[in-house]
Amino acid sequence: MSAKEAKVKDTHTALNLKLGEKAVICEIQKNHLSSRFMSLGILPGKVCTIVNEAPFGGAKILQFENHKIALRLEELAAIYVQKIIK
Amino acid sequence: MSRLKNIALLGNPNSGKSTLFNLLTGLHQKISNFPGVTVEKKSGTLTVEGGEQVQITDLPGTYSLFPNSLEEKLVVDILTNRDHPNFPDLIIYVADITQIERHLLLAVQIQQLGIPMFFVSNMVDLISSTHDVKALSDYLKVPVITSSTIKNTGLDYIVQEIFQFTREENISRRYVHTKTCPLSEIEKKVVQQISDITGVQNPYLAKLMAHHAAWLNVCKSHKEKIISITTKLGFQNMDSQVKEVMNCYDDFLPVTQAIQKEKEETKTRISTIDRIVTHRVIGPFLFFTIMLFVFQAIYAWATIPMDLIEGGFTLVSTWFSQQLPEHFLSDLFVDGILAGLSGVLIFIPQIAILFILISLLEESGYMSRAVYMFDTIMRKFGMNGRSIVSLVSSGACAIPAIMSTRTIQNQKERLITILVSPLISCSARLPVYAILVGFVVPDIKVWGFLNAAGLVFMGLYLLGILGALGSAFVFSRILKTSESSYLMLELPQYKNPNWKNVWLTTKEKVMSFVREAGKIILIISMVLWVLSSFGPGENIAKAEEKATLLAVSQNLNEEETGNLINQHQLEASYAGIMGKWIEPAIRPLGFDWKMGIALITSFAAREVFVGTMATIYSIGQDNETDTLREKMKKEKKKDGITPMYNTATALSLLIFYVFAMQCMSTLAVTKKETGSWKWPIIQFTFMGLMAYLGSLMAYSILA
Repeated sequence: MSAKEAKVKDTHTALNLKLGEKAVICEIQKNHLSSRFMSLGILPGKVCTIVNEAPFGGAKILQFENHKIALRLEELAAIYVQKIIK
Repeated sequence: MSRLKNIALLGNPNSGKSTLFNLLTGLHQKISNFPGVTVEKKSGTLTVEGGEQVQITDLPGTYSLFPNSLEEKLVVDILTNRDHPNFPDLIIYVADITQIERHLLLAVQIQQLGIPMFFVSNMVDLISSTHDVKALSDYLKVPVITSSTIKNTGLDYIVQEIFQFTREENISRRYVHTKTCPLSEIEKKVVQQISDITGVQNPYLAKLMAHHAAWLNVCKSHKEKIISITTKLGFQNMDSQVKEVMNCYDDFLPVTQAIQKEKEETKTRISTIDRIVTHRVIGPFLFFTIMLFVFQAIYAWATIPMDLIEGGFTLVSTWFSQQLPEHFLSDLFVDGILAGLSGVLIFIPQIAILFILISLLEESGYMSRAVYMFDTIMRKFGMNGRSIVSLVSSGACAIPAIMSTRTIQNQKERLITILVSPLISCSARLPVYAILVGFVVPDIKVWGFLNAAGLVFMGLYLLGILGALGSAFVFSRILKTSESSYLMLELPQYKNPNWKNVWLTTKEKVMSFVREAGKIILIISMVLWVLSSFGPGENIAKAEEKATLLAVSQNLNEEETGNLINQHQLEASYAGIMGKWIEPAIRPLGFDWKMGIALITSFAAREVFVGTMATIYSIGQDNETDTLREKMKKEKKKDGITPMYNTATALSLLIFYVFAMQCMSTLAVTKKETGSWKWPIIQFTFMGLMAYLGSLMAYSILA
């Protein structure tokens, strides 16, 4: 992975979203879990929000439409997003 | 007789599929394992109008034919192989209508495979107006039935459709609508070449083979050829999966948009509940309050029916021992079989209560929130958020706790939870702790108000918890798995539980315990009875003779004589001999052969320790505890001066009981839940080692 790509990954994943911040999903990192993301409905083009952080850390709840999915931090890092600025 | 028609229930997790399975089959269910894998197979029968029986199998919850877990892989293995014994003649596809967009994906994949199917659109009560089923049936072109497994509606129509299926002459016309999957140029070539070598006609089946050849159950020569085709043609596995899923979503978007309307009110209500339930402070607090309630229920409330069962058995066995002639077969019946039976039935209240509560937690949707909150902590120990519920339940009894691990999907996490649960101090250890704790510390107060014995008690419980977490940590490093660990957990909407389903689940758990673990418990209990009632040659008879003479010379009354005879007979029995035989091994722990006998007999259940000690010290079974403690206090070591039960010995024995796997019923349940003797043997060994080393350390330091 080149330095430039790494930087993009750092700043633009769902991991960097603050509580309540809205974003559009641009892309899902391709790995063995990407089909699971898709079958859970986490797809490019969806508007999502982080609605909760786990009490002991390590995971957050991602909401889109009326679905809520609990994701670990490394799982959130596989979702590339673009923040929606009001 | 021809084979029963095989109907499979398929759908995403949380679609209400398993509830539907329970409602359709009622108590005509059988739980077994799928051949060759440790995935639970639930199947049952349903008799439709006219008396024809069909077999219904509840396939594991699956998101798509691109699997991420062992269970999903199994589903793909079955559905891609028409010769698989579990390949269905018909699929009843169950979908949650409120999540229709995601739940349609797998249905479309099934249609691409061309397997006969009808569609159940579940949870219709959760959307405010009757949704447009027509859009769905127009799209799928197979029968669509609306139902609510919560309100028990639509079941008749499903049964009716199954009846229709059994009579239908043209099954493909009614139930098959083969959708085509758009393929790229490379994919077309791959599919064509795979068809050529395997003879597979369906292009989507060939595509799935290209995706999954590495692990799919296909013959070896085909497997190698398929893999070489995909590499040669540059088939991009992941890209192709993602593209297919995206295409699917695009394809049915108009349909789902027609259905998905007006859900705003439920949405805000759920968000408010979730904000409280998973709150940073309130969340864990609420969870532990609920766990306290669960613990209280199985620890305290279950004792009422348990006492009734025990009391009932005492009455029955007393009656029988008075009525039956004095013969060893009568003894076998009363002390072997009846005692064993009571040892099985005694667990029913705890199992029933725990499973009522757990199914309520699961069904309401709360459990997934708990799993989410504790994922980080439990992960460190190789376990799952659900494991906490099992570990807390172990504080009452490991048996229902181990049975409750069924819902942990990841096999490794489940196995670790099963293995370490019995290390948490259960209620059967209490009588042993109670009798020994007085030898460790005097009856004094610490800092004026804390009872010293109470502190030791707390320490023992803590030791159990540390032991469980520590060994879980070790197992999580040792055990290998091909499953990847992920959370990605869907948080379902909060629902009212279906009480009939709660009742059926609980009943099934109790029945399967009695059936499967019951046998083993009964057999071991009889073996233990034989060991403590018989001895080699004339041993027992001689012991009785000797004891009677001794009693006469000491001028003992009838009761005392009986106790003395029991004592001498136990010493002369196989168990007595074994106790003496293991003495060299347990001497470094500070134990003598008398404790050795108690260690062996309390394999039946830990609390048997007290009864055995009472027999060894020639005390009757009534108000044994106080008298026993007095007797043990007077017991001297071989030198005749130093007391046998000093701090070192008592603590060593306590630690032994904290760690050791002294419970045949737990081993029987571990066997039942893991499906092999391997794991109960490992469990027995590692807990035994911990006990031995723990006691050895304590005794060497203190003595």
